[in-house]
Amino acid sequence: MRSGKAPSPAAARTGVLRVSALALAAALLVAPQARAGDGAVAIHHACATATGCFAGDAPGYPVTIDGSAGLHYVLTSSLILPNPDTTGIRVATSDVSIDLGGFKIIRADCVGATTSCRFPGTGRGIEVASQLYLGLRVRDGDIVGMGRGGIFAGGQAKISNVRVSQAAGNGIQAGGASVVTDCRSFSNLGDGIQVGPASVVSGNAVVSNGSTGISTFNGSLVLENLIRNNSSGLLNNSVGTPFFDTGYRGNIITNNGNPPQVRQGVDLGANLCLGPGDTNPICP
Amino acid sequence: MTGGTRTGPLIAAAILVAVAPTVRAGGGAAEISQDCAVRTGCFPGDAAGFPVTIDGSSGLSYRLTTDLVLPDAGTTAIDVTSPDVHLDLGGFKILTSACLGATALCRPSPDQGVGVRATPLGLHLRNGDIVGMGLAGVLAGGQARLEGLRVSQSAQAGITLGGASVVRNTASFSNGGAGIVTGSASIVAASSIVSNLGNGVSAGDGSMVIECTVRNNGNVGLIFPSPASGYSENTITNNGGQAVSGGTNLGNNLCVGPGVGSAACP
Repeated sequence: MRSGKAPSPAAARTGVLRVSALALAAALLVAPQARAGDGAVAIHHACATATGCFAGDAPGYPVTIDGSAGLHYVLTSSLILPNPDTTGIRVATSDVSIDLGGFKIIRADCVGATTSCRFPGTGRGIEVASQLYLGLRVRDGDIVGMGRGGIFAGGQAKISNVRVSQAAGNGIQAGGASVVTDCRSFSNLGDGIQVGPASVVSGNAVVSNGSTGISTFNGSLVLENLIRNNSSGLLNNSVGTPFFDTGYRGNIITNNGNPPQVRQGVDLGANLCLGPGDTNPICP
Repeated sequence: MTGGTRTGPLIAAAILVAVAPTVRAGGGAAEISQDCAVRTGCFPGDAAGFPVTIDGSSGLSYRLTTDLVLPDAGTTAIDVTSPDVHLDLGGFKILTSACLGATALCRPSPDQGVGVRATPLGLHLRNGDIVGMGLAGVLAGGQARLEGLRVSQSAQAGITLGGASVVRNTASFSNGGAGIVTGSASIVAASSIVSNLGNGVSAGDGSMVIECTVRNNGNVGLIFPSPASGYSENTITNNGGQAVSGGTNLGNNLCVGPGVGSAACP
């Protein structure tokens, strides 16, 4: 049975200190959740490595977004990954929006690198944990030197104004019904941009990738892209017949290694196709 | 000793002044202002005085928080020595003092000053004005991305970039040389290139010029080295030389001007 006696002032102070210490410890254990001015949840290198950036995210890479802290996120510093096997951000829910805020997700070896820093591994810049997670949006930043791929998104994704380079796999890969616009994908070992069926790929520069510049599937539209110096240019991988259910218009497709510059798909006009040894700039 | 006690705070203050502080904007970008540029240096690696030097040791994202006013056309404002730097002009200007408040032409005689100079790859520059430079508004290596800029009254070219670059939503006008010059595999889109004394746009092999207005430039409107570049949906009018030289017309272009008899582009 507890005594009803009031504690002495010293004991009270000790109790207050103990409670304060516990509160502080609890506060440190729970990942703080900083919100940027527009209400998006902030992600930065310090929280990623030290505390976790928000509820549901443990310390260390990858930063895991499971949706419990909301659906809108913004980088407030670059994320520097220690090795090619580390992923920067893993998304485990649908309809997440990530604003890179002009910052980078970059492998440490690539910081300040003036020559190729590509190195194979298992890490990606941003990936969905399952392709069942739809509707990822990524915009406004760079992803450099990932071991496996730059962006790996499920269907209904929108990727805009992102520069992806030096990945040892595909630069940007998204599932069906996705939009990839105003991006730059270059010097990746795999495809520059690969999208699933019924996607739109527009206004991108896709240069010097080790495989296909832009690779699509059935029913996609490839519009006003620059595709140059890749191993091959534009490929429609449509399955079944007819193969001619992807269209392309207004693209500059030049100097890609393996002719023809375009494989399958329908020329909707205003394209330029010119490869090594070609003398006539006509698309198939 | 009393004297030591008195001098301690002074020494500490001197150390604080001597080490350039890095001020960061809300977005985590390091700040650049006229005051830090001329007095203290804006961050580690940058000495007091122009140019502001970005060597990457303070991160890769930077933002202007005031105009930068240069004393003369021989001075460079920002010198980027690290790859992959992102510089947001924040709606501010980089300009020479002679152009401050000028209502008439303030283009200087050719000199060495550049608004933003970046030899390494991957400069990303956006959202502001560069006026009255002695050499060029922007002079950058490959894989650059420029958007939302207004570059005018440089003594020579407005914008010169290496290959695999993108220029979008930008105006380059009244420069003493070409409006925009890019290396191969570049995109120039949705931009206005007007009243430059040289060519309007000069782009390397495999490039695309799309949805631009190219008018009143002193020489050729669009110039390409070979048919392995294309242009579409541009309005190319009233340039001093040919409307277009080289490249492939991909359609929906308008070419009208001195010596151009019809609205058909070559």
